[in-house]
Amino acid sequence: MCIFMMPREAGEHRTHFPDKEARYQCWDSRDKFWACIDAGGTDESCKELRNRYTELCPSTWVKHFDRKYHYLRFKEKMKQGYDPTDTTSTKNEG
Amino acid sequence: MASVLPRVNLLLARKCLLPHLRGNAHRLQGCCRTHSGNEGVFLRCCTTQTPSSQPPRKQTAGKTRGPITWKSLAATGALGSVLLGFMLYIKKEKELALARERKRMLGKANIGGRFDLVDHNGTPRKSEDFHGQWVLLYFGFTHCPDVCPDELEKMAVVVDALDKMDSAKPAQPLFITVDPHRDSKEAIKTYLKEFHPKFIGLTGTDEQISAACRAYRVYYSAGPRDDDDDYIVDHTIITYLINPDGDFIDYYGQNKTAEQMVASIAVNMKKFEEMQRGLAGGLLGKLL
Repeated sequence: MCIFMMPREAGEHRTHFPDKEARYQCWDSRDKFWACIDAGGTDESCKELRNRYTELCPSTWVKHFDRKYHYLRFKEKMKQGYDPTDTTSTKNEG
Repeated sequence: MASVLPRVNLLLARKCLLPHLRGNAHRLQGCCRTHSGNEGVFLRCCTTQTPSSQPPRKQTAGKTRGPITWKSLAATGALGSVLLGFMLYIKKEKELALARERKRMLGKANIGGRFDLVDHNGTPRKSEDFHGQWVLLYFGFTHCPDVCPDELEKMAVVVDALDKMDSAKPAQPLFITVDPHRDSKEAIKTYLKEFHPKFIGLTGTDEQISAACRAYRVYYSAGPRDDDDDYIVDHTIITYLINPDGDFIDYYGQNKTAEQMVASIAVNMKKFEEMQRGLAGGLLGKLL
């Protein structure tokens, strides 16, 4: 259902990449979704933003950005003193 | 007068004869010449232990000239200084050449090299085609989510800044794809157009891209394919600075801002120019 996945040329691979405008729209929707989550929301409460985000961004990009988001949160936690080698803390954080 | 003379004679005789008797005759120079004057006969005796205060033995009243004169000393000194100056100049050139070699070897070994690719217009391009200009080289791919657009935007800012600077030369931005399967020349052309008009994109066969990446020690690896056959290529994120001789000079990662890059590139350009000037000046040394 993702429009950006339609190839322009009849090539074997997806040769059409998001152009500059499409990229900005994708990043913008992603940032809005992240802002929602950062404000304390969950996947449920931010569902609409999530849907818009996954529509505007290619699925590989969504996966990539999700990983990046978790990594950025992890870095923030470490800055605040979280020690990943400390086995007494819960492992399911972030 | 007559009574004084013998005493004087004795005194002088002592002065003149004693050194001979004691074996110190070498200390005497031009000793005991007799002059006949109106006042009578008197002995003239000179002893010296400081030869420098005496004119050279052979010189007498400026009538004959020896090989060593003040003029000849001056001439020799002048010639000597010229030769010394020349030697020091040659030495400096040699040191400059050595420093150049050392700089090339230290930490710069094994990065950079040739590539044989095709540009976004379909024209074959070799690495040698870019000799004579400064080059900023980035390896990326068009389906890149965020990093490549950011880095390419940064490169565009840097290229514009260098163009405007009087103290810097313009740089040619180059893009080499690490995804030759998808990145045709048309795709690359469309992609790069949005960043900077000066950008030249390069693609090629798997072997050609692989060779270029190997030369620049660029890691690249296509990730797993998605349902829609899309994939992300993991790759080294570095912008390389290459000098007009085609040699790798410096690299800039994601952590460098455009301003930092511009400053560093300007310094590198200056250094290169100075070395070129040094080289031209040392041509005389090379001829000899």
